[in-house]
Amino acid sequence: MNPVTLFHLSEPLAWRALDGTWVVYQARTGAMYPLDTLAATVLTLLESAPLPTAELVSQMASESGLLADSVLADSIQDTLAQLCQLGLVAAVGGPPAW
Amino acid sequence: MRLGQLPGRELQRRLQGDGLTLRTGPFGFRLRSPLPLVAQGLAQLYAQMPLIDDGRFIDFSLDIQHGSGLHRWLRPQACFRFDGQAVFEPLPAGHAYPLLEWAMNWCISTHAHQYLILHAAVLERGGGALLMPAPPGSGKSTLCAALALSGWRLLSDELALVSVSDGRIWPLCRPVGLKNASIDVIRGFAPHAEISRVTQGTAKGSVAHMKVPDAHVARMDEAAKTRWVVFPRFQAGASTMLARRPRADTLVELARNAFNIAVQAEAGFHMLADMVEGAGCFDFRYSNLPEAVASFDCLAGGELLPAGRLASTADPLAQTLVVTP
Repeated sequence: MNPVTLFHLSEPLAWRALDGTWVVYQARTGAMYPLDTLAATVLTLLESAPLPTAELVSQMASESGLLADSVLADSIQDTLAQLCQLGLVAAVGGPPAW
Repeated sequence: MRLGQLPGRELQRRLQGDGLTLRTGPFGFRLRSPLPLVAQGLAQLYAQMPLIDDGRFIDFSLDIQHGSGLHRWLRPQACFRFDGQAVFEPLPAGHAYPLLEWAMNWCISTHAHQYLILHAAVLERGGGALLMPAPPGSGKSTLCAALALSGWRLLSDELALVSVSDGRIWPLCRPVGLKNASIDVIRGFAPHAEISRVTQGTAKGSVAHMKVPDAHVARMDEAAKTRWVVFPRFQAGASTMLARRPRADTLVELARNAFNIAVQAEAGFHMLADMVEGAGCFDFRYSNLPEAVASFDCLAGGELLPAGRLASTADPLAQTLVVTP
């Protein structure tokens, strides 16, 4: 059985919304990144608890009214990959799908 | 007592002895140097600065000394020492005065972590601070000098000192560094401006410094809250243009211009975000200095356009405010 990959914030993050765009601050590196709404929502959900992709898709759909389909799942997957690359998010429990 | 009240011989005696102690902005400096160019530069550019004669705390002690060994006579050098330690590579003795200015910048930017320090010019008008971060070569200092000579109060040409407690910006009131063509541009713009002798052949080219107007030094203890963040860019032949800039992007760019954001950490991030949130954020392009100054006067007066159309944030095309065609 393949273990489920859980995603979590690599460290506590600070963020601010300025005119609808989120900017996240990573204290460990001192880096700041502007985020689109999808990335900001993913981080907000992961701030509450580590989640697998499927659960992120489900929660995102219920919060935003979007359809929990493969388009949304692919977008979240891409976003997670980028957030992992920036070191804002980490995966545990198994290798990420990408 | 002001530096300009010291007789020339006394100035030299102090510089060659225990040191000349003066205050610029919130910092006390003890300066020592036997090099005549340092004394001449200080006498010309720091005449209105208050001396510290009352045992007040000295933040930075720095020396601009002769080179050692053969360099005392052969290809004479100027060497910067901070608390007795050599910091930079020695420079030709003829570069002694710019070296002093760069050394003072270094002392502040690497030690004064009670402030969030941004690489930016700061001026004030009507109680609001205009913050202009920009890389070298952007025309920031030229614009800063012209504004300081046109009704804007100079807080700093190079280092913005942001208070970590309330986000206000504190003046430094040090001379404005001018490079290459900008020296003659400012001479032409304001023949009354007091500009030091030109030092040729530095790493930055020809450099000179413009004295801060006396009235600005007299208000050296008045901080100001940021009202505008403007990223200037000189572009030969370009029309003057002021364009709105997204605040999130402005925040990220301001952080890139911070010397010590890592030291200030999350508090610094929120401070910068607060600053950006409360300010008008713009990109500014110019080639004509009087036009550029007129644009800033309009900005301070609450008018974005002396001629042309007013921007609507709903119209992406109108995000660019062409000040003059």
